[in-house]
Amino acid sequence: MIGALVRRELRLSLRRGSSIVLPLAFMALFVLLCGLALGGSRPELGPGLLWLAATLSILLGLERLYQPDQSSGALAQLHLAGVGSGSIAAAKAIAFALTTLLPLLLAAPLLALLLGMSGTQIAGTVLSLVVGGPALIAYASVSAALLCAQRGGAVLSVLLSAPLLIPVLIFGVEAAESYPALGLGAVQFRILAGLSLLALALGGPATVAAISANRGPA
Amino acid sequence: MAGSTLTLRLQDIALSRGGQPLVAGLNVEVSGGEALWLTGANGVGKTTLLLACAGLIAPDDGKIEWEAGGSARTPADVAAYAAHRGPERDGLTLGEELSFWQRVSGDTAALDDRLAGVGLAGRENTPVAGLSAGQRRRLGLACLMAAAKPAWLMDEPLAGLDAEGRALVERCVSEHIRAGGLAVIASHHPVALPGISARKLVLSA
Repeated sequence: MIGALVRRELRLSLRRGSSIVLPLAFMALFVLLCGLALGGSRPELGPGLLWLAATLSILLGLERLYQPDQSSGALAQLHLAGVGSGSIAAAKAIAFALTTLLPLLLAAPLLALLLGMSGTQIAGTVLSLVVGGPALIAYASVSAALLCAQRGGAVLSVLLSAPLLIPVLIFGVEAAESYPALGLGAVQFRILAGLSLLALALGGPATVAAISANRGPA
Repeated sequence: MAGSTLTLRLQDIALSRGGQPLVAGLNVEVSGGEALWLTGANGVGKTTLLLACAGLIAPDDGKIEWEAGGSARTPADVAAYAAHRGPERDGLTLGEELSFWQRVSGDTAALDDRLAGVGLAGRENTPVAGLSAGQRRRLGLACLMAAAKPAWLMDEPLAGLDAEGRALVERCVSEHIRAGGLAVIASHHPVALPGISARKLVLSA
């Protein structure tokens, strides 16, 4: 069932065309503009810029996570068809990660080269994004599901999830910066992993409850 | 479907939508093999009543009970709801959308048969965005049949359909009811169901 839901989400994303291309273009442009504004190659800014770009592109995608299926009545129909809110939350999160985070991860090394980062710095940033990614997705899911039935909920959900993302952002950047010296065993990586697990533990049930509360018509 | 009779019982229902009180003190009972035709002016609460029967909104007051074979059921167990605007998403094709809902409902019929059954044969590659109102209605009917539930809640099932499409809907509903199912149909147009015991409920403010 989750497989069918994920396939549907991926199809809708690919069909729209922008879902893969837009975050990529956004991230490239963001890093390029930052590079220009901050004066050429500044490898020490790399992890921070890439984490910012990842966070912002996730916030940009919040609106299409639950809102279209809520307003079309698909969430209600899935419930009547006996599909649990947990399956819906899991499928949406997987598809969201595949369409926003994965392209960003694939592009990150290229963008990092643009900033003149070294190989280990690039590896550290990518690994920190992999470890911290579940936290970003989990908090994005909660806020998108909570506000999917509200008019103008997309802006509100950005405001709601931003404070939740701040600790992840802080430790994500710290983990990326500590990787060249300390590797994956750095305490920052362990804290980041803990933040991700905490986000999944809190965000999972909260998303499920929010879907159940919001599946009916607005 | 037949055998254990399904009953929908509304007791002293009061409904509101967006803070506007609509229906109050409504008592109705519908059983398998019967149809209930809801009619009344625009905005009187027909859709709201269907949504409440589907368990998608809670009534302000009163009880909505589904019962089959002597035990209580949840709406999701027994009811399928064909909304006025379907769940289809514009990015998909007709075939992708219908086979997704077939998969979700555990429907084993072939996609081609489902499409042919509602007069959409050979249209599986048509984008949903390019479907006419009547074709969307036919897609909704196909999803309703794929759901294989004993209770059909239908919101304006005839809107946008041509004469042949209206006959198709009426035939499908009649067959469903003859097989022991029940249907609650909100419609401005009379739904002709020959040989079926159908009751008319006029909602008024």
